[in-house]
Amino acid sequence: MKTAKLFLAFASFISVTLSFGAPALGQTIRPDFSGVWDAGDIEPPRVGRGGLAMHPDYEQRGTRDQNRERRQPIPPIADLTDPLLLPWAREELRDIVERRISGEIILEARSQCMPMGLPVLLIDEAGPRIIVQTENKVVIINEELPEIRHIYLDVPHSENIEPDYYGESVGHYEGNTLVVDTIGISTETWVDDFLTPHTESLHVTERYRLVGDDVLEIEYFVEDPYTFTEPWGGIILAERRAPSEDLMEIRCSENNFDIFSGDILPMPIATQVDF
Amino acid sequence: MHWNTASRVTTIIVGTVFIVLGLNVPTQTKAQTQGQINGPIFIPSEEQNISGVWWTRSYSPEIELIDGTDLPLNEEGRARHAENRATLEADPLSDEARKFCTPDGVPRILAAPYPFEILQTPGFVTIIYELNRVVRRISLDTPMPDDNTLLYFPYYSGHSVGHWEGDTLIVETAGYNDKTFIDATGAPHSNQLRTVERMRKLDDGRLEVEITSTDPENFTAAFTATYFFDFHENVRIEDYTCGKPHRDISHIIGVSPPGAQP
Repeated sequence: MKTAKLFLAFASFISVTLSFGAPALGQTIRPDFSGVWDAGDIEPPRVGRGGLAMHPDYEQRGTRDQNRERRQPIPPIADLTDPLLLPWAREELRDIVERRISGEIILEARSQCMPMGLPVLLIDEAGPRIIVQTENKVVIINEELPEIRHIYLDVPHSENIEPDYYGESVGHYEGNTLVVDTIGISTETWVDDFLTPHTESLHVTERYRLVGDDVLEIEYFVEDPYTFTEPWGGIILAERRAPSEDLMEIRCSENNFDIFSGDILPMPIATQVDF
Repeated sequence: MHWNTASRVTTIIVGTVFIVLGLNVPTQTKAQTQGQINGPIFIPSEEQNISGVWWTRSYSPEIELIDGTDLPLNEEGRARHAENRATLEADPLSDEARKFCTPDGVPRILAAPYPFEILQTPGFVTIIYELNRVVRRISLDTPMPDDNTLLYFPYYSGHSVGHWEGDTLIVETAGYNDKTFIDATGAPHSNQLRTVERMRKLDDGRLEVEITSTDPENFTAAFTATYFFDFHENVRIEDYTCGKPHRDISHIIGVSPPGAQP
């Protein structure tokens, strides 16, 4: 038994060592992403450019200033001169920019308890998430709402994809990295907090890898040749919470009110029972 | 490979990697369930494998107890049930679980005519019910959270702990909120509700979930119901957003078509 253990250990060690450069051996050993991850800061991508720029005159700010005095918050307002946008997207966004500058409140998906979609779920400060890895899939559950993504491993995309808020995600391990490919994202979703629109060609790639025991790097790439002039992306560094912590049960539709006015905000409501 | 063996092997691997790389070997208590840089993919043993997508064949709005009796409601419980039933019959959308898509709670979620998926990982069984995006995290071989947690952080789906007895996963749940019903007829429960589920795969491949519920505020005795589910290899759990179109469930026996009078 001891010999067997040693042999297994040795064989596995070789496999681990090789798998950093050899995807084919990544089938039996995979990075362990289990636990609760806090959403982290976004950094620029290693290559290429980041997302749409913010309007320089409207730096986003919250409801309180440095002295904790109440003030009018400014929502994210896009820089319409950014060459990233194709004309139709720029015009659609112009409408939102003008309405937001005029003070109109346009709620993003999360504030309406609606699924956010991709890549905004990654970009937005999305609250904690857990990653559940099984033999043939990875499930990512964002605590808020909650939002649930299913990633099917080692299978091709379906031939006919029904558009969905999170699209269809397939993935595989490349050594110590989980690579996720997502298409079929519903055009009802926005790409980012500026409420940038997209077409059915939106394609999001994510690469998950541990860059420390408890630090997860999520590198993402976004392309939609009918919306953007070039691909863009970013890097998120998420921190793992203590093992004693687990997902809490949070229901967006239960708490969707404006804390200042007490008004109930819009949320998904059924108009008839389905069974 | 059984997890215990896998875990031991992983510990050896992680240790070996550290030694070979000349790094200090940290204490490895945490590595039992998480925190490993790399680990073998966990595969449930044949005996203790209830993973996959499961879907009922039939739906009943009324909970059906194994001995065929009525719910053992006490006087207060009967009064509440009559009141809830009248309200639901007058307006099915007065049911928050249907109107706002809040979780159905347990045991009602077991009757749902939508599929659900069981995911088994080291230390946890995670159940994702398509209906209303209900997620249940069942922590294995850990004690029930303390009374304060159960009282001050009540969940629709409660707080669950589980353990295996042979081929059966025993799931104990407490710390429910009192916003859900026992079934779609409006049978009531309080936050004192406790449930014990016994989940196992039958010889014919179906999943059996036997659930025993107790709630001294509404019932005179414990009551038990059993639910059966078919395995669906090719069904994928979909998103379920309130007010949006959902998957077709018209083939589920007992489901009334949308808009029909119950």
